[in-house]
Amino acid sequence: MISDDLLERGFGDIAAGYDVPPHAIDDILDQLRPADAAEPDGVTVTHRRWPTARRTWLLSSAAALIVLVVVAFAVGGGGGTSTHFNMNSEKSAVTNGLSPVVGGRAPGTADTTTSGAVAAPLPARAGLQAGSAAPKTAITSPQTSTTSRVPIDSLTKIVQTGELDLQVDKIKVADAVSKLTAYANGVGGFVANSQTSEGDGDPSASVTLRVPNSSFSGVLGQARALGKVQSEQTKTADVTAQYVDVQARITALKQTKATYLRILTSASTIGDILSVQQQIDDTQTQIEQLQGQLKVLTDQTTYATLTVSIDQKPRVKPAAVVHHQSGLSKAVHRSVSRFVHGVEAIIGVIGPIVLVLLLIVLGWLLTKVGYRVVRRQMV
Amino acid sequence: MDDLEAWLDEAYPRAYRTACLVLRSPADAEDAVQEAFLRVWRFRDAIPGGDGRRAWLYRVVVNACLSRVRSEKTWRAHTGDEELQRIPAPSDPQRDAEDAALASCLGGALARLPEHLRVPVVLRYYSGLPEKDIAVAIQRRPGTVKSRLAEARRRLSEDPALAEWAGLEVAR
Repeated sequence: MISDDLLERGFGDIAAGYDVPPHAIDDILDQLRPADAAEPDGVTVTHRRWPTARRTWLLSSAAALIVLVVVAFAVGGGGGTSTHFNMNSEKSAVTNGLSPVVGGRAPGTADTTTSGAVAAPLPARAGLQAGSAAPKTAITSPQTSTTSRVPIDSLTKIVQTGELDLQVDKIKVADAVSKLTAYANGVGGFVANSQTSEGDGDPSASVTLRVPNSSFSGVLGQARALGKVQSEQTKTADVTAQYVDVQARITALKQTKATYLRILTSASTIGDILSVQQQIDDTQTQIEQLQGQLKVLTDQTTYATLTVSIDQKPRVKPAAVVHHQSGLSKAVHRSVSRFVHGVEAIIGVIGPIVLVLLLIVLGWLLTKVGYRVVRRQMV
Repeated sequence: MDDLEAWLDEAYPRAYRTACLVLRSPADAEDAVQEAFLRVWRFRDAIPGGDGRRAWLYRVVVNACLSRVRSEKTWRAHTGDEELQRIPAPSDPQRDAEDAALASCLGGALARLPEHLRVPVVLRYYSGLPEKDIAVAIQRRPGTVKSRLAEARRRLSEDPALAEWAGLEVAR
């Protein structure tokens, strides 16, 4: 595991590569100065806040106005007016050629529905469907899950990844993790990583699933159904070109290495042998690096990666049950309460009086004892 | 305005670089941080004082960054691996070659992290925010922050480029 120190050092180095724009702070000041310059001298921006009394008055007025409007609607039958308004707005939408309901969906989702139901004529996707080695592309559509529609054949290498942020309510986080594990195992996948935190009664988990590419959208749908989706991101990248390129480079480097080996057999001096050997070593290192990349690509294109972050929805504490009391019961409670308060008040008053009496008695005793002592000495 | 200038001088560079690490684009980062500072200054009366002010600033910065990320999600989703490598490697000739290599590898690994992991890890290891402040900044629970940081560390450790760099370091 990478250490914290290394991360801090590395991030510091990366950040140092970003030079702070010299004009940036001045730009911000310029945007703020006109507002402040318009103020009279010696007056700060904070004076714009309403005085407390006036603010209270304004809030009260606003609340009264709202109450008045609500009462007016209730008395005057505001519901009918509202319906009429909606009908008008709907009619105007139809007149403009914008059907408010398309296939049972709201207008805002019509485009989404279309893109989900019909394959959009994207050139890149067309290239994929034709099975050709299209340039790198990616399609993200959390709502429509178009990723499942990408044909995956032996020539095309697709990397699918997804991030899902869920909030579960009806089930526990641990149960959600178990279900996700079962989903992955059910399609021949596996759990690459799973972390659960139960600290402070605030359970959360992060699960990384690796599932076969063909099952990605199915598992994603099952995961979605576990809770409320907070955020979702899916990404599909065609790495065919990269895959083919790496393969070609490996082939070329192997040929180069074979050539060097032939040269090595004919090398006569030690200098030549060492030089050629160095070239062979370098070539071999490059081949191994590329083979590593190819292995990673093969793994990524065989199994899609889905990371699911799960939070538990905060439990709302049930409101305290209010017992409605009768008038007599209220009176009894009030009487008992006042009696207790009265006793407390009496004790509160008696305490200092008792203290004063004690001090007086003590002073009288001391005076008496002192008088006797003095008298004995005089005698 | 003196207070504003002092605050900008103190807070702007780190906030800007934090946004750069999150957004991977200096131009976008500059816009986002400018927007964040303007917003914070205009609502400064509502901002808690002391350490809470910094967490609040980063909360606004992160929100500004994420709103940009979300508005450009489609564009970003179409970017290939070569686009993910756009984090500029340190070009300072004085910098040690080892640090430059680490920055390059870590930059690539960071670019491959999704936003929800990249933001907390940047806030923790670059901005230096404690977990409770990160929770404020990203509006998540501390437990969630903890698990995301652990997940981000795991992914960074398993990143091929970073693993290769670590292997070379061990070999040296």
